[in-house]
Amino acid sequence: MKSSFGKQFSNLRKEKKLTQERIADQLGVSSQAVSKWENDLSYPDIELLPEIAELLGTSIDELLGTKKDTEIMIVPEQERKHIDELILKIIINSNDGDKVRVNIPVALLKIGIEIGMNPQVTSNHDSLKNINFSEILTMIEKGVIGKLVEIESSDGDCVEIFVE
Amino acid sequence: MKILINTENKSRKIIFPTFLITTKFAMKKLLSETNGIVTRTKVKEFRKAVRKARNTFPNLEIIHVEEADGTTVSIYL
Repeated sequence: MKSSFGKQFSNLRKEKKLTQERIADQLGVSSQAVSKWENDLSYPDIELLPEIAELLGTSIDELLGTKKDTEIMIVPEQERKHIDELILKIIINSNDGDKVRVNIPVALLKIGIEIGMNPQVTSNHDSLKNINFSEILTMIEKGVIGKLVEIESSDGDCVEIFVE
Repeated sequence: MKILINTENKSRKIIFPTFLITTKFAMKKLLSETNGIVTRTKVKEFRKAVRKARNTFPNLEIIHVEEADGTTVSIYL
């Protein structure tokens, strides 16, 4: 969930152990103004953003909450989807222009691995040879989702593996 | 299971019952090539997982291939 500017500002200020008064002094505004920013009652002048970011040791993107989430994340156990609801996506863009998209329900991948089927053998694609799908499955079972693998081989092939 | 193949000249649609893959074909292939790792019970579990996945993800395109010459192949679960 995207954090509000005020919340983000407040968290970063506290992390830096700075008081509202100190920030206000540095920026040449009143401490009441800083308080209003933190409560999302008003916003700082746009020209102050670079200075605020520098003071808080962050980027404007992070300050505004527009920084992209990390591509990989660990979902807490109580918030995880059941394995039956997850899909493993393999995207292969070959140097010669071929594009392959594979969508495997994770439940099928799991049972496939249990019975000895191996996606890298099945696909016969060089870039997949060193990918251990059992390890990927273990990661998924521990709540890891997002982009798990990104490989760019020397011959220009690109492989990405996601879990959604 | 449904396979769609589109080439420059023609399009083909192949539809066949999934059980053809998940029973006779798979059993023969799996039992012969996995040195006994695969059992009939495991194959039954696999078939069950396929049915469940089809219910959870109806008409899921499990494989999509676009070749540089424009040929596309789609395989649906």
